[in-house]
Amino acid sequence: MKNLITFKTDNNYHYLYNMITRRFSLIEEMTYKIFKLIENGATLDQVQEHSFTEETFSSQEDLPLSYYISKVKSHLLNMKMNWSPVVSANISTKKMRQEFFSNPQIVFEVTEKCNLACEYCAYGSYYVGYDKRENKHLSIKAAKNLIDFILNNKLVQSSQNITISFYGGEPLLNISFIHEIVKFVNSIKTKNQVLNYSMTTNGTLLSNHIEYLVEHDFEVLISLDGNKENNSYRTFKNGSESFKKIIENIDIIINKYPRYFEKNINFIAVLHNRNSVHDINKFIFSKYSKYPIISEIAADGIDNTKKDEFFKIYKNKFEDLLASKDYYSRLLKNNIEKTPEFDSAVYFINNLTELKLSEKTRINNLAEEKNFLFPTGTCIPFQRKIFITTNGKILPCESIDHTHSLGYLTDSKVDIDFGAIAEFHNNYLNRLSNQCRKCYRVTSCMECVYTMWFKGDFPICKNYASMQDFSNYISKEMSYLETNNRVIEKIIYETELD
Amino acid sequence: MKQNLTKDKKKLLILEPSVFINIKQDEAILYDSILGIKLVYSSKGIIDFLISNKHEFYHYFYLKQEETNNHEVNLLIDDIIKNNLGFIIFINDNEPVQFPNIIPNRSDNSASVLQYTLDYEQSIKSINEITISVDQEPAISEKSLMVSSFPLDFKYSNKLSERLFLDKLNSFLHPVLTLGNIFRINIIGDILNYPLLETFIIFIRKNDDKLIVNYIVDFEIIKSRITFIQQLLSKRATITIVLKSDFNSENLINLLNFFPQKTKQIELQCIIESEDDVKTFDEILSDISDCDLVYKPFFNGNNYSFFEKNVFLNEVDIKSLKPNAVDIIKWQQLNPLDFGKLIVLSNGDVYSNIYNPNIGNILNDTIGDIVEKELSEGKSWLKTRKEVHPCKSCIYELVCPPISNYEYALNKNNLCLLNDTK
Repeated sequence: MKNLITFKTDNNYHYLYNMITRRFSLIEEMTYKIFKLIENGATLDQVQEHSFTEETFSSQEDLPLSYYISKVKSHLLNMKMNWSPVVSANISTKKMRQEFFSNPQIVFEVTEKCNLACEYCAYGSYYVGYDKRENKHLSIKAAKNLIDFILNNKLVQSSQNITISFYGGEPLLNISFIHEIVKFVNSIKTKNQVLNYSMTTNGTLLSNHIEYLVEHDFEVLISLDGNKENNSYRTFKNGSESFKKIIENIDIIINKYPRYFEKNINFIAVLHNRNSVHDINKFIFSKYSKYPIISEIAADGIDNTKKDEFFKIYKNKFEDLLASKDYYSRLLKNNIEKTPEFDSAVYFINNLTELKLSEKTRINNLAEEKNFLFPTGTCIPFQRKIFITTNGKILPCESIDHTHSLGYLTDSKVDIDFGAIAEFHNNYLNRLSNQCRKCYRVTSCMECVYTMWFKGDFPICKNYASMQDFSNYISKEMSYLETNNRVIEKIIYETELD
Repeated sequence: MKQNLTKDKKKLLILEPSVFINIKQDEAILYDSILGIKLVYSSKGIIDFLISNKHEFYHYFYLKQEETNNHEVNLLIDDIIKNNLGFIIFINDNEPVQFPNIIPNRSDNSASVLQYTLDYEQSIKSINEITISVDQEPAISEKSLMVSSFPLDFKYSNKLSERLFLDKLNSFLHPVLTLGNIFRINIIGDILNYPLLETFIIFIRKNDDKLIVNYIVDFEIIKSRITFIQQLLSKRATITIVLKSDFNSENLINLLNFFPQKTKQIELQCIIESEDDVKTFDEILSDISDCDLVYKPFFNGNNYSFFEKNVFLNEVDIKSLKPNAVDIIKWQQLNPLDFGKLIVLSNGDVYSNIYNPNIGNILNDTIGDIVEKELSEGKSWLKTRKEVHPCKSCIYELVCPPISNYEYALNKNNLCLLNDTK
């Protein structure tokens, strides 16, 4: 694999990218040309003697070729041309255990029950891989077991921030579970442990429980796809629209608890063929002065026989924005951070440049050569959260299908074997080692092995990048930064990088 | 070596990412951390150009047409190009990207997210050394005894009641030990008379193979305790033996002869109070090649001139400093000599540096509390030359090593003859 990658942007600037250090260097056109020759097998001596190419270097430049050769030599003083990272997963039992007990969020699937029947529901007809829905509730006793198990084993006892999230189905259909858990947690937490509660709800039952949610300072995420027409996939079981009820409930909160609404309530909207990014933002912002999280319908785990039907309602966020030309150009002008390109640039800065690393030098050594990499971008299980299904299955996240359970929770115990999880996880990831070793996205991958399609025993990654693919990608991102010159400061100073 | 600057196009003077720049009121330095080249300027024209033409974020300068006729600016450009510290490019409507090596503060001084994202959890993971004093307290309470060498920054205490409680230490260290990172524990104090030594060794050893346990002991105390040393070495510990120049070399050789296979585990720390001490140690220790030898200058309150002559940096020393980019970035943000290090005294008090006030006590605070306190109120981990006089107004602050315990002991902010503040 090449370590140094040269590329040109749309604005005709030339760069050198160092995969190991994540450093971009602007270079002169002539330096770029010499690097290209070296990439094609030339030596610096051959370049000097013009014996490798007939191209005349000095026609448009004022400096001699020897100057540029010395610049290339200077770059090569500190950079390797090639790189062979070891790409392998070898997470230890200890590390797995550590992640489990230091994880910041426990998400309970409180109930399978839901009073809505949304067309695109992740537990609906388009998807496979989840446990059969039987209107089951999660056992309170089992959930308490887990909380006890985790809080008693927390690695760092001080100032622990832990979020307990309630997820469904519709979590408010099992409010007694929520009451019991909150009561239990508040009774056993230590003075240093800060517990936060959060919930994702369809909003139809909010007015019945709002006092309780306010009292316990719940962060609430309400699903709302825009105006009445935009929200029309979110229907009650009998097919009637839910929009009116949700809006009434939100109005009650605004009237009774305006500060709580301002601080604790946010919205999440799903993009589909009955709304657009413009519609969603326009409705929710003009009504509530909040920008919602806008997500695409999950395209993983789709039943093969339903693909055509699924893609009729599915919409890609970026394509949708490009289609609303006026809105998109207004966004670019006035609200650039709400554009997908901005998100993509944040990701780029975060993962492919050293800007974030320079901050991390406070705790890590910047120069540490990353010769050992993990295959894929899969999180270490439990690093971000622990998700518990109504059946007591322990999963690393709610986006992963239920066949990948890593443990079980029962009324009597927490059945989890960290050694077995480490072995299973390493084995899964290592099936992609060979491919990842050749993939130029290896240092910045976002693909999760648990959401990939499998061909036999082997997961299929759709995002493999050759050097050319990668070079095109970084060129596109750098062109964006060049063209939108205020973006970099917005990202660095106004966006949480991590 | 001049590029043609007469073309009627907008131009930028680009600095290589390896180049660091430090501009003070009347001086500026450009330092290439790969090539080790330093360019220093004191001309007003150049300083003004560097200040007013720098892009707010990116690592380059705007080059206006009229400036290309300015002799001083041309001199600067010539230096930069000739030394491979940068180059000129012509630009179109959009400007190129050249990321800075240190993120600049915002011009409007609004708080940067980046400066405050370090949290205690990350910091606990970065703890790399804990020094535990089984029966000592800091010597620095007595000003006349200002010293600066581990373990001589401490003095023996007669307060036997303050012997370290192992159970408290165990729960205090638990979070760090379970993270499984490699870190070092230094044990200092009257180890031989520490009644819980055996238990202590077992406690330390059971925790992790990745732990480096180092006992720091005075040669005069340990010289005849063969069994004790044997015991420590067999437990894979390392031993730092502190030698003063009046030590008996025969005794040392006899002692080391007992452990011919284990000398790699022994470090000899030679306390240097004068130039004569260097000669003495050179002569005596030249034959003892197997052990690591460390010469440690020691301020005894009366040998300032020795320090001035042998430890302080003069202009030539400073100009020959060639730190790499990693060091520079670190030094701009934290003090690597202290960062990640804690000292626990026998009464449970915890220090991030023994010369600064304590930041907690293991009997009342968790390691998380302590780390959080050091990051928010502490004076050691994040102390840099950027904030102390006279370094903060010196261009060489960029390349100077971080503040050490010598500065504390000598009660001055720098060890430098360029801006001597004695």
